[in-house]
Amino acid sequence: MKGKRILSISIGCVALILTMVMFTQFKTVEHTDIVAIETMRETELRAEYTSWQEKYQEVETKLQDTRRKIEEYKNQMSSQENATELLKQEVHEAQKNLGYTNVHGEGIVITLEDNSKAEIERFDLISLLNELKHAGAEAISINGERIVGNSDIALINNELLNSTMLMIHGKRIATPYTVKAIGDRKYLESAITIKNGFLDEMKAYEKDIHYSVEKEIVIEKYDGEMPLDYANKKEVKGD
Amino acid sequence: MKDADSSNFVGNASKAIVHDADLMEVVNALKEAGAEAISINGERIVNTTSIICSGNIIQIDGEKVGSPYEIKAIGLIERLNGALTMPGGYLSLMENEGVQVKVVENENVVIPKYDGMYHFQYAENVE
Repeated sequence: MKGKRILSISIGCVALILTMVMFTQFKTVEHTDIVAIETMRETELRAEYTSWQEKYQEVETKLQDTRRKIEEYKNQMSSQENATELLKQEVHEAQKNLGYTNVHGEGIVITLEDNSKAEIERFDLISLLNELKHAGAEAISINGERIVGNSDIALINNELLNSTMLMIHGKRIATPYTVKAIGDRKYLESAITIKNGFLDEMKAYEKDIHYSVEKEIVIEKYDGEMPLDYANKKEVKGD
Repeated sequence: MKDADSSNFVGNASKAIVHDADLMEVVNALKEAGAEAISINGERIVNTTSIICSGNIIQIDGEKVGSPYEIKAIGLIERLNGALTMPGGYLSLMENEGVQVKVVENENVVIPKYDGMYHFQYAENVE
């Protein structure tokens, strides 16, 4: 009889503690913003998903491209003349990607000019190039100098004249700077006109900037060299 | 590779943060010094590459990279090193700002190839 009572009391105690713990749990759950955590994860995952999807599409296009090329080669390898033609085309395409051909297409023309209040600085141009590239610009030139892989914008101090100047490919460029870019017109325009973007920043420093969206721009080819005296190609298996 | 130079470039968030602008400056300085190939944390810098800040990370051609930033460049060692570490050179400036900077000279730097693709849709060759 006594044993039974002790047993029921201890069970009662355990049940009480359990209920308390349960209520604490409920309260904690109520306080925690589960929705926020879930949405955060969701946006993160979504971003990740989109980026992978993009990569997948990119690789897919690449694959189709390569397949098409292989097919073309197979079809045309029969005659020597066609093969030469095909190779010529490919070289031409590679030259286009590198910036060794004159190109035309839709895009944007941006003009930056020194005024009495502010000068256009080297980094303004570097930053603009970066924004345009981010928006998918396929060809860019500054005052006729085509921007290629090894292009830099150098700031030269002239102590004699106590002035500075900008140089691209060892050639002096001066105000007004005309930056031409070929690519999706809408992307290129929104890349610089976005709130607190490049245009706003330039205007905040009272720098003169104008742009016009064009249906047809011609960008001249790069006429310099791309020396490779120090970099040697590394052979990797499977490449 | 005959001569090469690799710059290790470490950002310390407690003192100073490395921004996209800093990476652009370093890349520009390296190109000025005749770098023939450049990569940042394994991402090869090509003529269409953009470097964009997004929150507390930096995106290079859409790939996320974070501190520490390891910038590798191939070219004439003396020239590359000099361009960055000379007084007033960009790395010296950053060091003054409190960013941890380390430059390592290496005779054999390997820089990975660009793994994106050129897919021009708007630019056409002028005949």
